[in-house]
Amino acid sequence: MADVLKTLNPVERKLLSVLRGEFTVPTLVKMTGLQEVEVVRGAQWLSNKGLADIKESPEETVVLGKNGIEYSKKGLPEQRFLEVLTREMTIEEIGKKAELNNAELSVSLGILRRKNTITIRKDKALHVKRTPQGDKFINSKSLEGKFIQKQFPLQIAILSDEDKYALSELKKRQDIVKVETTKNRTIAPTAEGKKIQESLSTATEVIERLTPDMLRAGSWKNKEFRTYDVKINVPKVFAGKTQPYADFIHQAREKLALMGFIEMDGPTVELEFFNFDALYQPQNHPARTAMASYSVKGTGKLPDPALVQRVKTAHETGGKTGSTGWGGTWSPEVAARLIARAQDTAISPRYLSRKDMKVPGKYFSLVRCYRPDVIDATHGVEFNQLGGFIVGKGLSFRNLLGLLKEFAAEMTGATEFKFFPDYFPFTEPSVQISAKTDWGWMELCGAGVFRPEMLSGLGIKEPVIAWGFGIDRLAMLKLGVTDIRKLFDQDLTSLRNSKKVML
Amino acid sequence: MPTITVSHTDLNKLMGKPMPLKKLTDEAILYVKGELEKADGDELKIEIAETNRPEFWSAEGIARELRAQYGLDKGGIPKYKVLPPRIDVIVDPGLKNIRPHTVCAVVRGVKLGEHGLLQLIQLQEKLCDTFGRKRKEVAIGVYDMHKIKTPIHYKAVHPDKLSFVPLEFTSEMTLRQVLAEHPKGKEYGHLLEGHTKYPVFIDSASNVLSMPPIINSNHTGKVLPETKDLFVECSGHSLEVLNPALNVIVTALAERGGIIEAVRIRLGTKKTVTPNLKPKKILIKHEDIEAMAGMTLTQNQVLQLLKRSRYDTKATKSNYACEYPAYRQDIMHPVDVIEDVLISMGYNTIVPEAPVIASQGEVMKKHKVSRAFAEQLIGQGAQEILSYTLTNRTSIFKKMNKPEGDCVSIENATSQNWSVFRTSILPCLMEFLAANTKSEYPQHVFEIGTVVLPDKTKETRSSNDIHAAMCLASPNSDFTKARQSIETALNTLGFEIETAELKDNTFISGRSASILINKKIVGCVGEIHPKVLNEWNIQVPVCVWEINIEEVFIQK
Repeated sequence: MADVLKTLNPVERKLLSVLRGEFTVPTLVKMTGLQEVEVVRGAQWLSNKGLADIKESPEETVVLGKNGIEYSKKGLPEQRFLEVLTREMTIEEIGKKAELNNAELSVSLGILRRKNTITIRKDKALHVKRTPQGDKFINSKSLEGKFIQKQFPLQIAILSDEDKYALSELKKRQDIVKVETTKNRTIAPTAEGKKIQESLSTATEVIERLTPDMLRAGSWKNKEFRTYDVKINVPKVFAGKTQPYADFIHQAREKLALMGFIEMDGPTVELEFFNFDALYQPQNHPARTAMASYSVKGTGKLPDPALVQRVKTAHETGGKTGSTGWGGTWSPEVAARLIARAQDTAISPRYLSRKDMKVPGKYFSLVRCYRPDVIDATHGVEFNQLGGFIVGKGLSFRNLLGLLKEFAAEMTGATEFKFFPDYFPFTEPSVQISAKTDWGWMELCGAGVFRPEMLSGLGIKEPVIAWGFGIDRLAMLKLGVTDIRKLFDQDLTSLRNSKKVML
Repeated sequence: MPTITVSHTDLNKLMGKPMPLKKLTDEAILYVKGELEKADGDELKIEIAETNRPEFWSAEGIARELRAQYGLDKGGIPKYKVLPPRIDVIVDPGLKNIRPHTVCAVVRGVKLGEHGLLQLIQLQEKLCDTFGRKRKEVAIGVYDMHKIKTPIHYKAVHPDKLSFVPLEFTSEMTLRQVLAEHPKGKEYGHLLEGHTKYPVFIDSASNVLSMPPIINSNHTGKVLPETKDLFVECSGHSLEVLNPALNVIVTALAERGGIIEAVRIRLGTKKTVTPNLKPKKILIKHEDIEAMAGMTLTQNQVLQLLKRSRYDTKATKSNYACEYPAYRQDIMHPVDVIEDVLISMGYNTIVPEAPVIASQGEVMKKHKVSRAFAEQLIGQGAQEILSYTLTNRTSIFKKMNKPEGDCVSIENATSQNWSVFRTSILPCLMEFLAANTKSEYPQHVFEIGTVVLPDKTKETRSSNDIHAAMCLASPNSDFTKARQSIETALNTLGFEIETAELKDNTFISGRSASILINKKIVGCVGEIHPKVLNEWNIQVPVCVWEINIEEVFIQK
């Protein structure tokens, strides 16, 4: 018992101390001076601890409707009707004098005639005259008239028979009274609660909150602390958090660096030269149409003329590579067009054509790319791609397969994977690796050995094995989202509730 | 990449030996770079990754390749007999600047049936669409030979001087009407734009065969499952593209029992005979194959693999003189043949060997500092968000109460919502706040990401920067709180800041400042003007800052 006593907080104590019988919430508010919510919550706590019973019974109360409120001030229409009727009058005249509308006039006519308080004469218009019976009524109010003068809300249970009659009459009329059902809550102590009440006054004071003053004065000594219900749920707080996809991208970069790759970057608005031509993608390739890439207003400037010339030769004749090239005439105007970067591979030729390019070397980039599309659950106009390459003497297709297998294991944890022959304009041989994931077989990474025509354009002699991840698909798998738009989540509540995901 | 539909039964019949579905879809279709998309009973939907080998875009071509791979025939180049020409196609020199070239063939005695007809139509479509760049480079017509009176003329005709009934239509239309009114005319009419005459194939009885690259005539252009003798024409601008397209079609028809008969193409006094199915040649070095494969191979192994890929090969000590079928036009370089050797070997039978290259990896500095900066803001209790870098002029100018300015815009935007690159991150944050007015406040959100600014001096006429920006949206947020936020973050990372008055209509006058480090402006801080909040329908005060991460951390 003493244990329960220690758990009581100040509200519970106050409430329990006055709870000497069964009371309603409003009564307890008056008795304790607490707020209504405090009383309700405190009663609930006491009930949880078995110290109080909360009884709820439905209760019918009467309240005034829109017309009822008006009549409670001006009087009922039939009363006002009778009062202005000092002589025989037409119905219009009465309406004007008593400020009654047609509906009110016709209701009044019915009631007053039933009570024999008026007589009606029909001429061109209706003429009404008060009877002697009616004269009496002016001074004494009807039951209905008295009823609407009362204080509302009224509990139906306590109405007199006369009031009940008045209520039943008024209920028939438009919007004068309404009957509402409310929950009536009463609180009473349990037997256990009563026992606690006894010791409540004699019990030593418990400390609610430790204060600096108590510490300074040492007043906490010999006192007890109120004990908490430590199992109770506490309200959630919002902590500062990373955006899950941004965090995922960051982790992917770190992972690639750990695997020995150096990060590369390039401009968001790119020359078609780097996005396509330097990748040996022919100028009439379908990917270079307005359907497949976003063109940007203006014309760019082509890079180093020697580089441009080598790329041109590779396209037209294959140069010294032993290739036929694509044939035709390569146009510098097409290459100078600007687009929103359509593939992350656009960055590779920028680095491969650098004079300070380190060979052997491992490079990667993780960048935003753009493609015209109708946005839906699987397509976005903006997406990220993770790609890169390894350049070095003696690299083979077999090495590429080894690298892909390593990636599949590192990025997805998958142990089952499969290679598919694939096609990319700038690689030969080309391959795609699929891995068995929680979502079933998933295309993970496209890859290949850069074509000799491409490398000759860039001035690279060593073989280059290249790869590119659909990082968005992988992120969806890891973050457990099925709609690609959710990667750029615009819902604060869901971001606040997001979980940390480790790649 | 093309997705095609084939019948499993038909494929089995063409291969000459049935293959279980699982083996076919798990293993065999990898030889044609195929991947099963859907199996619906007998009907298989297969995606072919190879956009440069149209011979794989029909059941006939797939079956032919698999027969060689599984030893169901001898392998090597398939031999097709070509009978000498009996008919002539006379080409009008007036087509020179319109659609100058055609190559044609006759195939007799083909057993099409329902499957064969479907494959023919599908192959024709895919060839024109993917290989023929939506009919620009290649348009194909196939006709019932018996309805044609030879010789056939390919000529340029005035749009109002000739009319015919287009395929699946009942009434005659002039060429001009076809272009203006027929659905195909509307779709492909742009290919004839600017020409005063249009190309037609017309026979000696003045029956129109077709109006390339738009539509066939209903009279001759309708081929039925029981049609036996076919006339095939391809028209376009370059013989290098047209010849392989014709070869793909006629060899596919030959796989269904058709006998190919050549056609004489006459242009003035010049005569050429098509199709030309003479094999093409390429020389491969043994050492190049081994270097690419990353393993040693015997000459015999290589010869077997080449045969299975339908090459005829003569080997010398270290080289292979390879011949390959005329329907292939994808081979530019020995690597193209080497890939075929590796595919025949089977990618999944090669033991992967990870490359061993010792190297020190590194994340770019700008990304490392971005993350360190994000950590500071998360420590302040803010929520990171991520937005698109594409936005619209209304959001970055009008809704921020700024005058219309310069930005990088997309010419072929698919939606006005994503038509320019953002020049600042603040509008994205405002949009985010506007979308979350029902969420609990305070809302402290930040984003670190790329902005794109016009820059005429750069080769791409624009430059990228990484910006960081934060919004403090709360009934009691003010200038001080915003400044404390950015100042604390920068202090921790080793930077002292100063502020200077800033006049900017996005902010309440007198409550905004530039942020300076070493006398250089790196960003701004301020209280958002109520006009801006109204534009975004935001009902709480918002205080913000934005800085250029690269200006701060990477001395430019």
